[in-house]
Amino acid sequence: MNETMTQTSWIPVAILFTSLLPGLVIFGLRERQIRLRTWLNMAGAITKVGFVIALIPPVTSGLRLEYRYDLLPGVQLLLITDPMALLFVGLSTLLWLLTTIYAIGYLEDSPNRSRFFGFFSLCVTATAGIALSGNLITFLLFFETLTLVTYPLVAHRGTAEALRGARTYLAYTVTGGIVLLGGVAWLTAMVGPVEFRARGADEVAALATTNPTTAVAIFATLIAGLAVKAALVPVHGWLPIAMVAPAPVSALLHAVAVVKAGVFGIIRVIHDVYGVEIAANLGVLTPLAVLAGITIVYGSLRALMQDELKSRLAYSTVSQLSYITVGVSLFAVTATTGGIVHLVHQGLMKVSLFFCAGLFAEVLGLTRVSQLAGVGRRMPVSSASFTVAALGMIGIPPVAGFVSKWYLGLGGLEAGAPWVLAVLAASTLLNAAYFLPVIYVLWFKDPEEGAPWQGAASHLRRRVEAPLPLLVPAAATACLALVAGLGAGWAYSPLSLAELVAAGSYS
Amino acid sequence: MIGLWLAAAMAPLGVAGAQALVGLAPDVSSVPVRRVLTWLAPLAVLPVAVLGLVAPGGSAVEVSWLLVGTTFSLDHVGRALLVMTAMLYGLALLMVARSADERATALSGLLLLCFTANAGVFVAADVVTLYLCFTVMSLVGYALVIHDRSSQARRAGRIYLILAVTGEAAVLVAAMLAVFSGGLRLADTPAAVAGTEHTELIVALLWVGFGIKAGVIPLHVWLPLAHPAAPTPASAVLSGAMITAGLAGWLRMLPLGEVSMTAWGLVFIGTGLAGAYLAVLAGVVQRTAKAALAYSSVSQMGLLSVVVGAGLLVPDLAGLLAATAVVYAAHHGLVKAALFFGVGLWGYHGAGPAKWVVLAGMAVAGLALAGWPFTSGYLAKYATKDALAGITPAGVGLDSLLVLVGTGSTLLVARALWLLRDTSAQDRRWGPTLTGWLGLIGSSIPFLLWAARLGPEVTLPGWSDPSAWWSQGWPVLLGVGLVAVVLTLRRVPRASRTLARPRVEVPPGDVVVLEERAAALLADRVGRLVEVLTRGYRGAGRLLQRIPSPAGWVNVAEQHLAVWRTSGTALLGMVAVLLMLVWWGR
Repeated sequence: MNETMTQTSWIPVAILFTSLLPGLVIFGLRERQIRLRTWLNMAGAITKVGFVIALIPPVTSGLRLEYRYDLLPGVQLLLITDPMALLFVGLSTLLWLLTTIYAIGYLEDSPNRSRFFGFFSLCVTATAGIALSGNLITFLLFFETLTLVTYPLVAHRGTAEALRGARTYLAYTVTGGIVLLGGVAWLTAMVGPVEFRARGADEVAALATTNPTTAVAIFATLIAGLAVKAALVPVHGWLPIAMVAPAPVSALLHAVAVVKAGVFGIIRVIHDVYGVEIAANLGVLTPLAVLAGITIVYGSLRALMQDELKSRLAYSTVSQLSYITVGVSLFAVTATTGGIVHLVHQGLMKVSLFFCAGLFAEVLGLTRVSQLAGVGRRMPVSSASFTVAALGMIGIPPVAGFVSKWYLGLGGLEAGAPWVLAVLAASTLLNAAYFLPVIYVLWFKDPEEGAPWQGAASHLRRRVEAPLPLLVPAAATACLALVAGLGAGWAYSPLSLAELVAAGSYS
Repeated sequence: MIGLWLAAAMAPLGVAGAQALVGLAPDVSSVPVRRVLTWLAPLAVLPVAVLGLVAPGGSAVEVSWLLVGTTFSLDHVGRALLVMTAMLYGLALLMVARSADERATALSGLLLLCFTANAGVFVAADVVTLYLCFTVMSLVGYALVIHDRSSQARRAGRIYLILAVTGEAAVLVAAMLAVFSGGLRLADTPAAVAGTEHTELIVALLWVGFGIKAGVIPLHVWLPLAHPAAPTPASAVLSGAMITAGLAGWLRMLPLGEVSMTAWGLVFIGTGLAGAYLAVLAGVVQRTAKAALAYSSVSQMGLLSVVVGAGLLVPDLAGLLAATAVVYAAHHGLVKAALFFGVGLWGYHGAGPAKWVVLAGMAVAGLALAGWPFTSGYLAKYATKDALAGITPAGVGLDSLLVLVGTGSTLLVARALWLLRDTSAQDRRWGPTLTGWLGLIGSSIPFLLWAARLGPEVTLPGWSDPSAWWSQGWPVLLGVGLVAVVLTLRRVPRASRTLARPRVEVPPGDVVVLEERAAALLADRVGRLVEVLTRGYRGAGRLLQRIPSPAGWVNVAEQHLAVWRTSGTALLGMVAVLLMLVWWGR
């Protein structure tokens, strides 16, 4: 990689505005203005994709764009585009586009759509803000914004259950946010404002040498604050409850928005605030990795016991997120690569799984695994998408999940932590134990008596199995998960970008 | 050469993909297209066969963008097994095209997918590619096993899948350890595995991971259930080609020829010998022809496990032993598949004049399996025994320990043929499948002579060497004699009754029945434990609720604070003004 060049640019701000402006306008729209609302949503999402694509060549060649703005003396809004930011903003942008299409189809003819899409856009703005944050303050600002603007999305349906789920969500994440605020304030009080730097900020390195105990305590506080959103055991409880949200929200929540914000924060803290080497020397990484390892196995075990499809997927998220945490908290470049690339891979696979769960629920009204018998005949494309994504979650090649698992395993060995292999093997078996039965039920089990899709009754089948705005995003994300795995060796694949990011963390 | 590799990969995948697409529109209009595709499917294996036959040695391709870098190459191990695999799948696909199966397109597509992965196992040049192909093959194999959707097939499939996934996890961990030790390229893998501190662990994982596929005792339990449960064309490739992938995995990744591993060598040899003989005992009391043949596969793979174990024991001979194992496995795959195909063909032709052709073909294949002179088994068994002759771990040559395997094979084939009587049969016209099948059996000797010349020189017997005839022939004659004794006993009334209702009954999969019971018991106990824990958790929750809640205090505090609401607004306004002042002051 060439020497990093820094250049002031308005592009990071523009990326935020592509979703912020449509969001604000949508709030003011009347419920019936469907065409304008759709147009605004799509224009924003596509413009954002354009910006991100334009960013790829300069960022991979080592150019760093940044935008600074003094909010208060000593409190600076800093947006940057380093490779890590690009990776996350790219993921959120792509999935936002697809989820918007899905949501438009999903919420057709349902009430309060202006409110929904308004907050939806704000949610994405906050996520992009988190991705582009260049210092802890900016990160915290967007992190808290995300907490708040996601609440109306989780509570969208307004049922008692939805409100209860949303309240639990808020209680957990606000508490986490306060702890994080405490950590950031503490660190800022000790060393001043901290900017993200590959291999860690110099001030923090100085703190770690002069006052290692405080450095460890601050690290623990920061991680504890982030752990809520990253759904680490024992503060994962909100995630399975929050899946009362409408399917597109669950999809976004589990794939990129909230949970990834937590994990992304952990990556930033370990690699760009402390620096992985200093964190390793402080001895804080192993406990985190072990906790993540426990979460992997625990989440899988809980997933095994769920019959509700979305609950099963939710616990699977708990487990899969910790793949990322394990990867970035091992001191080995291969493990870091595996963790970072799983950020993208898990997003693609999980969003597809939730899209499919939403499809089964919307088209056929099925929400339980045991009800899905024989659905493969009625909805082959949805079932195939689900199958590909689920196989990827298990880590079956050539789907993307395998690539993550491979790098994590090798990284575990490289870092001298062979227990990671045992965790991965156990998780593979458990993942197989809760995903393969779903695939079996979909394709191989005979439909129940009276199910409209039983028998060879092909005349019952419509030309297309489901509304296209729902079906196309589900199939597209599954294809992307497959392509990200198959084409992992390609120069612009998520894996190659993750390698670039990870290489920057190690000198 | 690249073109040939590309064609070899894309032809089967392309046809399978087209079949999947057509499957999306299962109305009447797509029937002709589907028929064309199922008939095209057998042709799609041809590029692979051509690749195996004509591509120059060491021919290799590298696809760096694919996965984490994918490489293929062709050596003597891959070449023989590749051609064998292409022949078996070609015939299987032909049989599917001819069959009356209403889901023939699905079966055909799955077989093509499985074929690509199966062939990939043999030509993979790096560990990741080997693992990729092995895993895809295993999982697609599941769909083959339960294709008939009968309750038997589902049970077989469940057990198959549990073991396949376990094996997959074992191979994955072994692969990671091997690559971490510097053995990414399969050419370097054995040395890398030998050179690391994890050698024992890797070998153990490989024994489990690939041993499950190869049907090694005690990991064989899925095999006698799954091979018979699959539709006949799939049974044939399962028992012929897929089982061999397990052996190929061993040959590629074990530290053969690098270090002497006495303990593990003896494990391979011990379990191999146990499998070779115990499978015969279990097999002769089976109630279906395919189950008897499946046990014969366990027995034969036991023999191959002994050969691999000998290679671990004596590194100097490992190269020769590996080459012998390949020749033997290629022969076994071809002949065993021919027997399975024969069972299916009996179903088509067993009620008509062509039944004699089927019986004759099966007899020839059976004799070849047992190693009778002038068959491919004669050559393969002789070569194996010759390679093993000098190796005497327990004071006795391994070759003499394996002598009676031929007798066992004779008994199992006789049992399978006997059980054909009860199989329902039709009287179909002579078709291309029957011709192809006869061609397969007929090609076994030329194929073997070709395969034996590919790698290190294996010792083949002279065609006109009476001592070789005798040494190969007497175990078969012994088997035939035993069969004759049993057939005579059937005429004795009392013995006949015992034979008709043997006291000992061995269900297919033997110990798996006990394991299933144990698993059910365990699941029950775990379920109860979870229940107890849940009850405890709920109880703890109720206890927590009894603790006086701070809500009352909080409410009081909040009421006091509420007074501040108005002043709070004022405070916010002041903060805003202050902020603006700070702004202007900058």
